[in-house]
Amino acid sequence: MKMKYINKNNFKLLCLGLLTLAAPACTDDFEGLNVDKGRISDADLAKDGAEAAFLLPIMMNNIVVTGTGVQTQQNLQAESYAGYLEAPTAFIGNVNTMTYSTKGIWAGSYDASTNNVMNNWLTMQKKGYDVKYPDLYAIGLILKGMAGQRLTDTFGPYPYSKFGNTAEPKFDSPAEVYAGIFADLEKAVAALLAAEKADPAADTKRFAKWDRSTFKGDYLKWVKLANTIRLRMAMRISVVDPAKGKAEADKALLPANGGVMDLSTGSFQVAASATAVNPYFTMTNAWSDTRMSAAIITYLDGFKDSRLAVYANPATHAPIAGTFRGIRPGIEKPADKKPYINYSTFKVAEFAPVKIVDGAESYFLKAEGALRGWNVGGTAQSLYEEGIRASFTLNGAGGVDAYLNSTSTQAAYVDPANASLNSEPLTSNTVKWDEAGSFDNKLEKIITQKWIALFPEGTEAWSEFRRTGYPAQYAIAFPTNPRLPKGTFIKRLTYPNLVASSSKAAYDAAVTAYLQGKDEPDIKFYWMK
Amino acid sequence: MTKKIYKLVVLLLLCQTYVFAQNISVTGKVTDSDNLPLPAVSVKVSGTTQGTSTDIEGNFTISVPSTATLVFTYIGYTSQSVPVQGRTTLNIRLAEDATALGEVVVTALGIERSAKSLSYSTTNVSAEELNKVTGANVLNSLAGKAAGVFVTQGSGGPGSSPRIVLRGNKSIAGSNSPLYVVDGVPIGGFSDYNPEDIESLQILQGASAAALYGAQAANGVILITTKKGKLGTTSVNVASTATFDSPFVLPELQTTYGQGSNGIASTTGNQSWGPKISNGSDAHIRDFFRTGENYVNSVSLASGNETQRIYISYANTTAKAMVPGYGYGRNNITVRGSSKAFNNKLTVDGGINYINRHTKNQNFSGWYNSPMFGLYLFPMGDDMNKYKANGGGKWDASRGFYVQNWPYIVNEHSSNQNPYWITNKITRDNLNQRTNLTGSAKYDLTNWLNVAGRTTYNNYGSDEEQRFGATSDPTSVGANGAFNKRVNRGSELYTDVLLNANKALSSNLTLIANAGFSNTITKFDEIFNGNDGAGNTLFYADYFALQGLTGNFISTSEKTKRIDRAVFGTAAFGFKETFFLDVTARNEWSSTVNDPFFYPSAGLAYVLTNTIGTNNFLSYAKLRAGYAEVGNSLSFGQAATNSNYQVNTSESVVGRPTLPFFSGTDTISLKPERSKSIEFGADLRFLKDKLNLSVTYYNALTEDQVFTIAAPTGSGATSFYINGGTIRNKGIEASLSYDTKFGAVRWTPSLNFTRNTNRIEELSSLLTTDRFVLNSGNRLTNLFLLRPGSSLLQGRKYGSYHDLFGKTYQYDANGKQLFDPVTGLPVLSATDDQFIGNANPDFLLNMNNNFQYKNFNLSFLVDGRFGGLVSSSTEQWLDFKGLSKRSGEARDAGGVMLNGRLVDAQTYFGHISSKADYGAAGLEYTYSSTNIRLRELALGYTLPKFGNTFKNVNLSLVGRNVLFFYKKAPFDPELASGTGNGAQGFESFQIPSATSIGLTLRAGF
Repeated sequence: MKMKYINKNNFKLLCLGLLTLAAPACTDDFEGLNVDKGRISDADLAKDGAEAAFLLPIMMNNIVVTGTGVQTQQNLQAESYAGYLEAPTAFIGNVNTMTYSTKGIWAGSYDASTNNVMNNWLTMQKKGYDVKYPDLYAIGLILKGMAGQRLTDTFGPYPYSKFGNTAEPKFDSPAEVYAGIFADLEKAVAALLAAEKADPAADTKRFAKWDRSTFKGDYLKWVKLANTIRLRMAMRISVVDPAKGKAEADKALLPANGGVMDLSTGSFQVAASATAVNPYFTMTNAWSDTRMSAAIITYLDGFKDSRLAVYANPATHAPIAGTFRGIRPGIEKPADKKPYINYSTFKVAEFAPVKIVDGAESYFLKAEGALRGWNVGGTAQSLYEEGIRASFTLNGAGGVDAYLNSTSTQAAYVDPANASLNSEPLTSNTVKWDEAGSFDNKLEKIITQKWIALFPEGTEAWSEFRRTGYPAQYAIAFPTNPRLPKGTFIKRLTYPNLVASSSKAAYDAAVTAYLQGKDEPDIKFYWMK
Repeated sequence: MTKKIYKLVVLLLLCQTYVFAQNISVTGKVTDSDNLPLPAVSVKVSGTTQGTSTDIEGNFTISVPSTATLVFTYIGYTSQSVPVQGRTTLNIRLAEDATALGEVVVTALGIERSAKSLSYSTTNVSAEELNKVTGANVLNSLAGKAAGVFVTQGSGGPGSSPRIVLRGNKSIAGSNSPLYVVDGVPIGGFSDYNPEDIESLQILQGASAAALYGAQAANGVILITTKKGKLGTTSVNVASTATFDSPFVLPELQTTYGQGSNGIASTTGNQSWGPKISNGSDAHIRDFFRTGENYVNSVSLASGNETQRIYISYANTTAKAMVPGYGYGRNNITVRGSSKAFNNKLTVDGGINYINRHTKNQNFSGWYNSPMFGLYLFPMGDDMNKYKANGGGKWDASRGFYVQNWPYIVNEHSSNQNPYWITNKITRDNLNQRTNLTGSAKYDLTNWLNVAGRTTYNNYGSDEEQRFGATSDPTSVGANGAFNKRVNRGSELYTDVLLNANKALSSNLTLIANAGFSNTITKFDEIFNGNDGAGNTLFYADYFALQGLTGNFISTSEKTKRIDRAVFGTAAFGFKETFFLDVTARNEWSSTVNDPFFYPSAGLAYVLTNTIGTNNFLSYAKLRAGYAEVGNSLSFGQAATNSNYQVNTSESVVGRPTLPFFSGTDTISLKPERSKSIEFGADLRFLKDKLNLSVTYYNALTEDQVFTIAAPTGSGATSFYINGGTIRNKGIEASLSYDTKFGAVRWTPSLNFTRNTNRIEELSSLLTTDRFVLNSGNRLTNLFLLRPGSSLLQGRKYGSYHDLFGKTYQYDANGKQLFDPVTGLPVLSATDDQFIGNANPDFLLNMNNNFQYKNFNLSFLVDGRFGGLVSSSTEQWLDFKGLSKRSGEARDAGGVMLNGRLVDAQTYFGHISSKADYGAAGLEYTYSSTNIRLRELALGYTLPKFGNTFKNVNLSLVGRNVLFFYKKAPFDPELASGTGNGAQGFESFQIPSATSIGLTLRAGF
């Protein structure tokens, strides 16, 4: 081979020849290199059975986000709309979710659960854990159902049933999402009961280490959680689809299915870890970004409810120092937050877990069930009063007997900073049950007391307000969205821009089919009044 | 693998056996016109392939038939053919080739080739030109020195590197940085090198070196040749530069209206919408800065004899930034040596390059913890002197230390803090060390074939500590302060083995060829421990140590390794010194890519004047054309479908947020990006080489761009890595230089022109969306990639990389601007996705002038950047706070006249700035980047020779960023908030760029 005969083609041949000789040796040591060894591998996770459950902690920490991500997930949205907590901060010049401008900001309401619950559930499913670890997969399904319920209640259509089937799945209608969740919860309850039956210690052996909730890995408590969610959803559709609602409620309450949460289970609360700071503590103190809302204060104050001092601290603003005072929702806040920064704060402990489902909720759901003639094992009054007692117990509050006979009403609202925000009581509703009252009076009592018990979990409270209109809420004073003028209430959140742009075809189809063609916050769907 | 190459070498050796009879031995010496010996001159027997070359003293010995003719060739000199005619001694003097003067080009592998044989565009920047105005970072000096080079200043301050892009941005998610090759070996970065070690710097704007160095060379290559020992002499060179910095541009503020709101004075907030005041001043801004000082001192020694050469240098850079407390120090030590053995057949070269950099108290820039934020937004009329003392603190008896003294700490979309507190109590120190060991050996198998092996081991580590004193910004720092510590180390081990041939195949045909193999192992390790925002603080106030971290603090580690291997070959054929053909090929295996990949290139050069001859007008003409394909291996981890999981502060495993694209159970195998480029060019010289013109047109298509996109909802991932698009860059580079004399004054001006246009030709059809969101969240503008046909293109056929989108004003069908009938305010678009413009400049034009008069030298560089946009968060905030000059002028006028209606100024500026949050009129805060500046100025004087000790002494007065001839933006538009791909076209409370004036002294002994 003389050099002068090496023309371009020969040269290529030479190279290719070298390639063939070198190729196998060239890549032998590439195996397993393309991953960061500082992170944990599937192989490491196979040890001690971790692989079955390792995704569950992050999932349970993203139903209500247990980190400061909760601020843009629901603190600035549902918790404001529920009249629980209100930011003293003029985010985006007050043109934000609290004043009903929802577009293009704060995707957390959608993303937190979608990315951290739904995506991780899909990983579990793709790994075949539904067959391999049906009990732990069932926990994943419950978390998926809880996430899905909150997502569809907040936005409407959601790609629940086809999630992960393709890169661009279609959105389900809210009714389809509900049907999918009912099925998932049923499957989860059956799997957990079967596992418990096979080995009553299965949960402590396999799950306790991974359970970041107050249920500490107890499968039977998780069964009750699933049934409570099922009952909650059954009630949500009790008007729009009464037959389905009743049937689902029956299954949720069937003793053989494990029952619902009660005083014995307590509330379902989750923390990132024992030493993690509660995000509301950070938002209240370090950030000064959240304060008590007007409604929760005026109701509790008016009812002389001893839970007020459990939920809130008195204001420090000089004219009202020592009294409890909330901020009216959706007002125009000054850039320096004053004086609202010195209104009542949320009394939250630094290391408290975050409440996802309140232990008293099921009593109120059953009370409403009784009101609707469902077979719930009690009268509306007894269940209503049991619910209030449960909530007082869970909050360590006293004086419940007198409270149950209280006939005082919501207090008037006075804003020392702006008299135009003052308001007379919105309702004459009282605590004391009135068996002679109308259906609506009774429903108002049940929902109002449930609302007090659920504090501060705003997403469920806002959904129930949208379903029932109770308890009466202050209209926002500074609406910035012309579709929702003064006196109206927001019905849903709009999808994040990224959802609309990254899933355009599916998004357009869902908006057309299920939202009257408008991805707007005034559009009602499915179970909404 | 290497063994196989050696086998090949042996094989090739066997091809080379010639026998001659009846020869005589001819010896002689080859010298240049100054009678200095010329080493390495090719001495060939005409009509054969036999030959030798001269040694270091210019001597040669060759055994030839007595009737032979010897041809002496040397790059840059006119060849001579000399018949032997029986003589045994031949002393030859070669004349410099006027047409090739200074035209020796060091190509990628360190091979010197004549410029005329190159089929691609290249620009040489001499060390002298590069180091005319020395700064802390050598790369800043590249601005305006060559066509095709885009320089964006870093986030400010010594120690920050600029963004260098050649021929436009080709990759969306990957690197657009050129490859730096020092003495033939690729290195990670060059910004911290000792500029005095540079002998010359060669810019290859195109992808021509990619076959040799792989994908990063697709972004162009900057080849640095460093100084080596000099033959026969020992020289010592000293260079010393002192420059002094002052802010180049500071924001323009109104000083008429004081603190308050709605015209009413108030000291509670930091707004300046109060009543007219008489004590308004913006002096606190200028007063905050100190005179920056930069001292660069270096000394080098070079020595050598026939077989050994050595070069040793030391450089120290010490800088005090304009921001108080911020200091920078760097030590560079270089030792290089080379030696020849075995009859000069073996050349061994070795070097050590040690760099240590220490950055002290480097401030943050941008919104959070940036001193600029509190400084620029200080309310008008308040007295900054109240807050300066005790490092911006006031005594707190209950806590027992100085707490931050600042009434304007408020969480309003960012944190406003006392700038003096930040410079004293929020500190960021970084120690960075780098050692580069290089070694190479070359063995001449014959006079036309050698085998060479090179290796370089670049080992680096950095240690960074960030300390946030107790009572710093409460939104991000807990009550007892915060501490972050990041320690990392990394290494790159590059090895190659090459077989190089340089041979005249016949009297008309020459070949330079090489084949080689390279292996690169890259490792990186990092640990980080630190507080997790405001929810987590130190156990003891201001105890900045790992033991002081408590609760759920962040603790992460990273450990990565990649291997890249390649075989490659290149061949350059020359025919009659007129036609030149380059071909290259490369095949790569990378641990980041699933399959190996191959790419070729070819180029052709034609010296037209060899055919048509020269005349008084045209003295030289060359035409060239080239085509190159380059594959770009994937970034670490992108192709991994089973990537490892992150564990968060609560020991919870976080799912895999970003994965290679999948649809249901189908996962794509990510392909390497592939760039295909063509270039055409001409190098022309006129008027007896006085006027030189070089023009290049290029057109590069980069396919299968890999980037991260937001995954469609319900797909199961947060983001996808995807081969998502195709980008085309095309443009023109031209440079024109002239050399003339007016009496005793020699004037050598040069002009560089650079134009690049970019368009997105295609987005992946795996998805239906009309846009990929690259960057959003700076509150003014977003970066989208638009699919051709998207409605957001607003009539344009294609979108471009770095198109800016935001809120714009609305117009009715007749083009009349819309105003809110109630408030009178301009109506903004509903969403922030309206096209505003592109961040990249339309073209660059710069002119370098050099005047030489006797011992005086005056040079100045006028640099113009035309077109391109940059949005400014600083201006948005200044409007919101009532501090901008125009907000004062609006108040002077009683408000803002809009559509015949006078609107209150505070209302108007609050509206368009969206009170500094999302939703602002992005258009309003997006400025043209067009500017023309006097970038460099140097006036030098070379002392007449005196004594025997000094060989030369030169003293220069130097200046950088001396003045703007023209500028539209109220800040330096070349400052970007960062050098990353997504940070372009956005400015946010950057440290101002500096005007530097100083003195440089160079002396040789």
